[in-house]
Amino acid sequence: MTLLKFELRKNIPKQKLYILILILICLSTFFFVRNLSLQTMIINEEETEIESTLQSTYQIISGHRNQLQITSDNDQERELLEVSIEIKDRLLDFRSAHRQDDWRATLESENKFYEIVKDYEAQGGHFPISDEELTESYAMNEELLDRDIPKEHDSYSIATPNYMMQVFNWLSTYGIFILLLVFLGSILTREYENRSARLLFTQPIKRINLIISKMAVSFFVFLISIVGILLFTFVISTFFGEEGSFNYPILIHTSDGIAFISIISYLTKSLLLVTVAFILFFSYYFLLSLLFKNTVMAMLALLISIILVNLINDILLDYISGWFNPFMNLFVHEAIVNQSTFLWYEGIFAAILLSSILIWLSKLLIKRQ
Amino acid sequence: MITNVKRLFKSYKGRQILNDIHISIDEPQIIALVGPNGSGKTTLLDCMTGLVRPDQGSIELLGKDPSDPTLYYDVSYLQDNRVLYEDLTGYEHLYFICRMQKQPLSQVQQVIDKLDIATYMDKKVKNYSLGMKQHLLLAIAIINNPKLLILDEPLNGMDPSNSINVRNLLLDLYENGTTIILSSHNLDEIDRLTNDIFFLKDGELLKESIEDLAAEYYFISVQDMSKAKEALNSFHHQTMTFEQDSIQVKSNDVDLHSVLQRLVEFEVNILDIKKRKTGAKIRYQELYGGVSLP
Repeated sequence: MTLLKFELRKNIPKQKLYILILILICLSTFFFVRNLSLQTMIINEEETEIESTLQSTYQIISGHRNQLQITSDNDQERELLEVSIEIKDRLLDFRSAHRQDDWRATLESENKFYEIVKDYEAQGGHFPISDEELTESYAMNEELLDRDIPKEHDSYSIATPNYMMQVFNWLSTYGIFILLLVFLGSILTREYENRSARLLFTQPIKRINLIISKMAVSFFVFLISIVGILLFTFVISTFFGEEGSFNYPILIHTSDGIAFISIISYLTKSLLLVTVAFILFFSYYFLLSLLFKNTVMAMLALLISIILVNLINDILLDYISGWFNPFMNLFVHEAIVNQSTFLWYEGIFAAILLSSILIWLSKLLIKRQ
Repeated sequence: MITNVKRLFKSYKGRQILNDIHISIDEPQIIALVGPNGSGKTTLLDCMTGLVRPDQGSIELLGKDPSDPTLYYDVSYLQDNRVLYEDLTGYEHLYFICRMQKQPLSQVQQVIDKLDIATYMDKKVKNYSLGMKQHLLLAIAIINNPKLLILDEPLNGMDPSNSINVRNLLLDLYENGTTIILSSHNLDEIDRLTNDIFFLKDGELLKESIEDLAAEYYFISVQDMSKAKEALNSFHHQTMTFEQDSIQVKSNDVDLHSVLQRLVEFEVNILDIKKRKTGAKIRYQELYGGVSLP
């Protein structure tokens, strides 16, 4: 406990830690301000999209009419013309509901539009929306109506849960590396460089306790950063954004097709996967620190390793079961939303096992030094 | 046995830093390790405290291997001041070490009082002078009342009055049963403090007793050294040393008159006779020749 407190005392007041948290807060604020300023643009963009689809529908109708002028006895063409006119009518309803800012009516009319598009394609017509987009949008709208939650923009939402998820996704993809690079670099290698590690090595301290205390402090900083940022995003969006719902559905792909989880479930799973990824990265970085005893070299080796893992991960996913691939969950968002081949938690065991092996190697190495 | 170092070898980048080192200490004493910069003093102390792995050899301190963490309840190593944490205060260092050493916290105030360093203990180390840092390192090193105290340049950056205080403190510790091994450039202090001196030269350890070094010697310069050696063959050789052009004779052990008579009998041409005390400084100059005194 004394050692842990000492490690905390050494590392927590570091200026660069505050700078790091400040950077993360600034980035979160930037995301929010951007989302807020884009709200009008989002409505206009949706309107433009409906208009563009409407224009395409008019062209389709015109195409069928032209075709019928050439071959007036073509029954299929006549049916397609009728359905395409129906598409146009439903699109006009959709536009009208959208303009009235009635989210339920908008979702319902959008889905009615999708239904008729499906009929049109079933009768041999071709409408410029992919099957995948059509199926997913339809299912999402149904789910939102079931849960009685208005639709939010995928990337630029100011509803608290959706904004938090957006920031968390960014954190889990890039923030973890910033944390590693800015903060963790100093936790051991700097102590080797400035020789202060030698003071600890000549005290009655088991070296495994040194590793554990440093890991614990790093983990503490990691959690503080993540929880701090999530709290910050919660506060900023509660005061300046919209309430939203933590029950908001997130579409995921499973082996059985499309399914939904709530944002709260997504965030919990993400937090778990990010934590596991952090433990794996830290264990590896600790070993590199002992090998190189130089911050720049250890960081460089870590970055090269991450790039290599990125390169081989696709191959690993093809050939190794998720239960044996420790790198499976490094891309947190992908691991959760794309579970058609692997379940989101499959890589956890292998990652923890690999982390334990790396810590054990560090213990051997630190004992020999 | 307090210290038992056997057949210790260490090389860096092809250069032999430590070459067949043996150190055996059975009872409390103060021992100095002397040599110019780069001679391997710190490497030897680092090997002894497990910070550097030797290429070969065995080390036991108080019957334990240096890698055994429990050893450091009884052994302290004062290293250079870079081991201190710049952003922490003196108090924070001392309280942490005190807790790790399982000493009562009152020990912190005791060492602070003993070294008279209370005035700056609440300041961060980055604001310390070299002398202040040395005092803090010393406080850290003695907080556990060690049985074996290893000091690497403990007097660095200290003014003469502080050096005297530290010397007295070390003598107190020694009188209370602590064995002290110190490396220092301050050869005058070594003369006053130590029982034995180990000179590190070309990776090898040459042991000298301070008693021998403090004795008076006659330095007899002769023209023909081989003839002189033949003439003095019957004398006990441990009482005299044959250098390139002079014979060093310990004044208490040998009658100068009989030595000179013998040389004259063998027709050895005597060029010069001088009487002087050696001490660590002179021995240092003799050993390291052109190497200027630090």
